[in-house]
Amino acid sequence: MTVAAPAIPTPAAEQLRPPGALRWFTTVDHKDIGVLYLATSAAFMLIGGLEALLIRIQLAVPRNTFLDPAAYDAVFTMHGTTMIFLVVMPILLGFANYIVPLQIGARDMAFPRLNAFSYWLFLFGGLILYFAFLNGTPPDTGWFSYAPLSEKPFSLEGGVDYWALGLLVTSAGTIATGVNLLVTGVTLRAPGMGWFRLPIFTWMSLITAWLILAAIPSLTAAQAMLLIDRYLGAHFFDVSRGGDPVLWQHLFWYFGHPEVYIMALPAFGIISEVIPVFARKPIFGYGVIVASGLAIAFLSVAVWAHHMFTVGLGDVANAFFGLSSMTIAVPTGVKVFSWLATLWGGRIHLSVPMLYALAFVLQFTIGGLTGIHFATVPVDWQTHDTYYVVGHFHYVLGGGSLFAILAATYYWFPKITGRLLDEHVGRWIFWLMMVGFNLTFFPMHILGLMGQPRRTYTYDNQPGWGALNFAETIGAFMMAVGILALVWDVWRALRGGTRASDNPWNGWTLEWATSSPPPAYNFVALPPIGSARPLWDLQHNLEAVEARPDPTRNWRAPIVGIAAFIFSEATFFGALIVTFLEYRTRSPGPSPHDLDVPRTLLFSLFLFASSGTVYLGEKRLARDDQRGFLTWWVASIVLGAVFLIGQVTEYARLYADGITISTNLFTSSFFTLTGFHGLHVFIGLIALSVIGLLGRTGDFRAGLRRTAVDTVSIYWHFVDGIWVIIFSLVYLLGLVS
Amino acid sequence: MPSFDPVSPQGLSISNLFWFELIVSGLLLALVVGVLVIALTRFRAAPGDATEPPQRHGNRRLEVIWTVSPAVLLAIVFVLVIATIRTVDADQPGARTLRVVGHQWWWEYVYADPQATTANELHVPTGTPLQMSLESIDVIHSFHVPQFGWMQDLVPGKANRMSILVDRAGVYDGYCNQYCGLQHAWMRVRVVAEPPDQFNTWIQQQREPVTPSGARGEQVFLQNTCVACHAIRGLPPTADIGPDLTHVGGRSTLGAGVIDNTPDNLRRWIFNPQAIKPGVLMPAYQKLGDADLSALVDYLESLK
Repeated sequence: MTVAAPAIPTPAAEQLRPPGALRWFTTVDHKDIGVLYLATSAAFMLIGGLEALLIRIQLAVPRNTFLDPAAYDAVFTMHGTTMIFLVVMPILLGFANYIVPLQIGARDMAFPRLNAFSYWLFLFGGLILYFAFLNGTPPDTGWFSYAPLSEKPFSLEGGVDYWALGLLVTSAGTIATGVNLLVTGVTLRAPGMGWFRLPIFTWMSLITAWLILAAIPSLTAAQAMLLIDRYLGAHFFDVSRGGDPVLWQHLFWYFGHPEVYIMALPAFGIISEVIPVFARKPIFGYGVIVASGLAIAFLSVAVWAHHMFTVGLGDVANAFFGLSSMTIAVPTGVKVFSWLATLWGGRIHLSVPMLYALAFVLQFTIGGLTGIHFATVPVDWQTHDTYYVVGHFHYVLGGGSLFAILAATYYWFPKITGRLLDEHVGRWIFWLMMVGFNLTFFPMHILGLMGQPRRTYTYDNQPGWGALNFAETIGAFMMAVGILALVWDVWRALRGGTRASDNPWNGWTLEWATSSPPPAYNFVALPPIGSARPLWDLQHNLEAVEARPDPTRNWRAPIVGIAAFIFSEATFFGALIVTFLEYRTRSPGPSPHDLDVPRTLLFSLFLFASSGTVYLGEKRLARDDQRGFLTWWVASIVLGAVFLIGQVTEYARLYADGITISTNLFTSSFFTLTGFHGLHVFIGLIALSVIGLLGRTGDFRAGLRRTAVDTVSIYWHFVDGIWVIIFSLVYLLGLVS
Repeated sequence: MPSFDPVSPQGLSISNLFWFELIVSGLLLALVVGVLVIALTRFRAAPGDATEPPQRHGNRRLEVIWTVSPAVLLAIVFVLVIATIRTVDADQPGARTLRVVGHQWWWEYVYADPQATTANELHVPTGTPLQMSLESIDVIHSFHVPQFGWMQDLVPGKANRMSILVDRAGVYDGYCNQYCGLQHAWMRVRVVAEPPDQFNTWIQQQREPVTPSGARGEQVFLQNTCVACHAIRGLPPTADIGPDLTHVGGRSTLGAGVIDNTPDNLRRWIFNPQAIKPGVLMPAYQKLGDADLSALVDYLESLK
């Protein structure tokens, strides 16, 4: 039984300002930034799609000469890199940016300026990547850029460097977004919005944010090491001096596997929003869906070596990672069953978003099942790096994430733009995409089993290969037509399509409780939040049940933020530490025994003392003793600077003795690990100085803006704490072994 | 389909596991498709229907069942996985050893006992356990012959071990399976599996050095930079930067599988290998006159 929804107060028309061009460059509003992400990613999608078409044209017939091998290698590298880093991930984060604050009843993200900064880092990182084409040296070592192919002398030109630098820039933005999303979810939920009332899309986005912090720094560390090899003569992955190319794979895939869940979990969230709304009943098993998302996230950092089963890790490692990879199938399968149970007994409306969601369920299941085949080690030994895997990952990322993105586009376009996309045209596009997608990627499973390897610019004229490849090319062009038609329909709708109401789909989550598009401040007033479906409760005149007391909502955003950032640093330093421990005694020549432990211990005491003085300064500040605070604060800066001077002079002495970063594996990893720590100390000194200057002008009087001081203090204590670990493992360990 | 036509016990073991997985996957997929189709027919809303169905939030029993059953199924599969790993990667006592060395973009094969070195075309005796030591002198490669059933990588700085026993005579094609640069696509593997007596004849022939004859083609080979990269054992000096050519005339393909081995193709290859396999690490010999080139081709094809 439905009741007409009581009117939700919406802003007057004059309160909705029309856009000016400059607004897009200066905005810090999460909705504008979300649109920027979506529009920019859409542009990169067209480029990545063009790269896909170039690949398919080259592979349409055997021994084709459309692209020479150098061009082909660049195109497939950039297709993968673009689709992963510049399309799927930013689109999903763009939707999260727009929708999560609305779904939790917040005014904006926790850190709006950081949000804008993240977007510009994404854009400029992408531009750096594509600048490589203009420079004549596009990246061409594959999206995972294995060593030693990516090292000199096998890649002498700059393609690898543009790849690493472009992604280092975008990754900085991605990590910042991870911090922002997590803090927003923890601290900005509206009253009544308890953890188990969050919409599933918000849940999945928050879990994804955690995964970003846990995983991306491993890629950052690996790329830093690669650049240090290429330009400072280190030997991390240089076989000729004892470096281990398999280390690259470990560091890369420690990031790479969670990355695919970063691309899958928000997609699961989208499907978990769309199916209930268009089946007119709640998601089946809310708790299980959330728990399975958490399980997937935790497991995903324990499966990475299933990309390395053919590298020769040994039976024990293979068995462990095979088992963990099969285990992760359980929470994933649970979601599929939940979605099916949501459909069952529903009242199903086949609007366009629902069509994409249903196709997702089918296609993700296929991709998930072939994924399990790869988890079973011996089958991987047969199918690894063949077209069977190309089929697998396109089914989960294309038939999965891309289709979810299309569902989200149709579902949230009215909310974001205030216009409706055309349902009739939408159906045509859907069927083009559905047929085109399956025609392109299903035959790949067959070709893989027939023996076609991936990343090959051509193939021999063997029976059936040409026909299947040609069919795949046709499918690709069908998808291209579909995407172009969608772009056209978006353009048409923006220029004057039918206006959308506040809640065209009769959804139940908070984004539908405001105008389409929402005003700058998001909500005139929030309905009472008594469950995961506040608008359903409103329509059915239910009393709002009070949420359980939840201390997390009162945590200070910057403190949660710096804690989240430090969590990401744990992965970064963890990667460098693990590398150091592997390499410290592996090569002849300089070793930890060549380090002057007492000298460094002395300088370390200065660093540890600076943590003490920071603490004392904060205590003075608590008593509003500005002079005392500043005295201890300046002392901290001086102590920290002494430590840094000690490190610089230590380096100078080592270099004077001929012990440089390129001497051997120990020195490569020693200078890199302690060097990055020194960089963090330096940045910390800058932050302490800024706080000191602000303190001098009286910014922290009477308890004002204490949070800023606390945040910087926590960072400084982390820099000290990590030095305890590094000092022990680098200097002290050398004394006992 | 080569992956399902294994010619080794290792491949058979994997193929059996894979069939089992495909059948189970097919059944699961049919279940999902079935539920989708039935749900879409039974529970489709009539146009304009704004009513709500019963608002079921979940069913604890069902959720437990569909969490535990896949876990049990996967546990069973895991047991089969361990058993298959142990079959495939088992030690084969008394195995012949063979070094497979990957280069950008060709294969070097070094037999032990008797010792012989050849390139690109691998001969193996049927019914004989082989242990391959997979090595690389440059980047990561991977040795994959689908009908062997499994592959392993050639990682520089490591020697990976791969056990195989080919139980059926025939010619089997494979390829390098780890992206290794410009001509990864044409680093093909051709395996000729033959009965042990035929294999022994072949390997004795491979061990024979040539007798210097002073033929024109031989002189062309020695007086140009060919000797800087290629070895023809019996002619000094020897180099191993490029494939060993001592018995190149007997191979069925050239350029690691990019073209068939015919006099015309060999001529085209020497004249300008870049036109056939762009990026290959061999320079063009367009400066050789027609007569010299013909002599060289005849000479090389005579090295059977």
